[in-house]
Amino acid sequence: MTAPDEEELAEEVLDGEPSDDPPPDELTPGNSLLLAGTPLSGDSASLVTTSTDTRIVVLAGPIEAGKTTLIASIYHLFLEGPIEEVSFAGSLTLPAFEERCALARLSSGRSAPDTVRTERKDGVHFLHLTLGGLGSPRGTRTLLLADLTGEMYEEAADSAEACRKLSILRPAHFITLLVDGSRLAAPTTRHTCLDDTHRLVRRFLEEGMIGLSTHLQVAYSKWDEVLEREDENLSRVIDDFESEISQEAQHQLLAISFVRTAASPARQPDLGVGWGAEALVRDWVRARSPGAEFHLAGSLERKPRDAFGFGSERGLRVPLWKIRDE
Amino acid sequence: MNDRTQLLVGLPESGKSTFIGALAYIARKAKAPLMRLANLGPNDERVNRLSNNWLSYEAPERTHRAGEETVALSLVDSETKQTCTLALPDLAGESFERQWRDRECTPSYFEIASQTNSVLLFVHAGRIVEPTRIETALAIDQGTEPEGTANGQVAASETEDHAADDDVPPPTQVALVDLLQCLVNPPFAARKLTVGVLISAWDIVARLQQRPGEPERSPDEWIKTRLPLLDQYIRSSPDIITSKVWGVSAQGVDYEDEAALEEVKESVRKPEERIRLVSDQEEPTNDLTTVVAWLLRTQKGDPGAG
Repeated sequence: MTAPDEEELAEEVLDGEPSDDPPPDELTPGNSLLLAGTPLSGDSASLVTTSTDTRIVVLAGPIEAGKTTLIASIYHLFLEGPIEEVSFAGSLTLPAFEERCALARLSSGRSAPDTVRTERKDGVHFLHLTLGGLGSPRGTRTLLLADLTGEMYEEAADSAEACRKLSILRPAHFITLLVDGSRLAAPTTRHTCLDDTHRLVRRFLEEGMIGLSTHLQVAYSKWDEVLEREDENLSRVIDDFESEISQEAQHQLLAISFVRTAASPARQPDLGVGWGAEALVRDWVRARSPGAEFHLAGSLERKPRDAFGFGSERGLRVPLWKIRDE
Repeated sequence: MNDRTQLLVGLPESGKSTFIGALAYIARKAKAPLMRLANLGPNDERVNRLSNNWLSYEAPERTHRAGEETVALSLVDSETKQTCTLALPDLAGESFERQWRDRECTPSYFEIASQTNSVLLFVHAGRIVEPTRIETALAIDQGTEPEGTANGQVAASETEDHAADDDVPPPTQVALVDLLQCLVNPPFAARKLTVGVLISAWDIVARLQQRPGEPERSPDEWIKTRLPLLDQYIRSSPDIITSKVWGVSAQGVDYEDEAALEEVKESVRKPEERIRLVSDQEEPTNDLTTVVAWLLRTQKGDPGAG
């Protein structure tokens, strides 16, 4: 099955029609299917967003900026303990997180960590996290992390039509836009890198893909490479960039912030895996969210929820695949 | 939903069978256990075999999927006279691995797990698969990071290499969280679980804690340090999980250590002396039925469950 066009999928989701999830591998006769653990499609994610404590985070940025590596590093931090006061309270996509960590683990047999590449055929998909320790009435908040291929963002910077296809941006509470630190660190590529970022933000604004309900986080990745250069001029260049973006965008957005991160800091290992990511997570779970309810599909009627935000009626629970009869 | 059935789950070789064997003996022979054997079942052959394995200092035989059967043990609360049944879906290691890899479970597991809210979750203290990252392993090898860091990550040289193995097991804490999560998601009904976490081979932890400089940790602290994801999950989900943690040593000795084994064999007067059950909340005991009683009484809303 080929991944549907982004726009088509968004329309399917908004209409409440089920998308064509890939069929399961052959099930042993008599056995029951368990929680799939694969990234959630738009359709499955729409069931989750009936919970008011759900926030959609889109990791954006060009190819190899480090989007998936950042997600994997945040997951790894939870494997080591709570992130500040935020604790792990569950995930419907644990195997998917594990897949994204696999190439960075000793068990991979590799000599240096790497990350699996996100491909266009993967389409729109979400990684799911429920986080606790927040003091909200129910005590938890759910995040849906959308990780699309960088190709789509590179195309969007050049094309209005391509930008409009990134329909997942509109409902997102947070756009975490990665700026590739390795390109930033090198004098030859730093201005192109920042200009590409600026153009993408402008394109998002002009096409109405982000607006007053969006919190834009500009996250510099691979900051260990920047630190290694000890380049004073770079800090001035970054100041200019941040000033320019802020002046242009701050009145058109809910909020804008700049964060330095190093998900896998090979050049400065003392920083530790996921350096800087706690600031992102902190915003995701605590920052003020727009009052408007957002639902990817279905009515605005709030259904009784169970632990993962699904309706108590069995038909509303995530039937990722049919359960075969024995 | 039958709140008098308690489901035993855990990864392969996590101590479930040894626990059943030792528990059956305690419930039958100990002087004043909290729970006693209710009645002889229609087919106690497997339970009796596990009990004899334990008495004879033999590791339980590991079954294969073809021979899958459920082991059941019925107990009665000495104080309240309530009965319960411990159910160990006699799952072979391959079955539990299949749950993670293929996301499916057998009909027998589905049937038993659907009937209960009470779970005994086993984890072996000496068989933890760590999520060791390459950077960490390199740092340990280069001496820039000490072995046994705050998360107990082992040095690269001590970790199995699964480089060419497609079936790389997930980190233990991830597998255990997944095991619990699957019980509260389809095809199972949404429900609240009462979970007793049993850290088996606790004698390993106790021995390590005797080393100079090694911090002393209670079972709760051990879970927090060695299995942080599991600790966060059970603590952050009070609307889904009520839990308690024990360290248990049912064997009392490493069967592979011949010298220690002989010493124990010569010195033990009563078999229950080999057992040690510890928790943060109570004094150590050899009454393994304490765990079962807590599950039963907590399900019933007994404020004195502990």
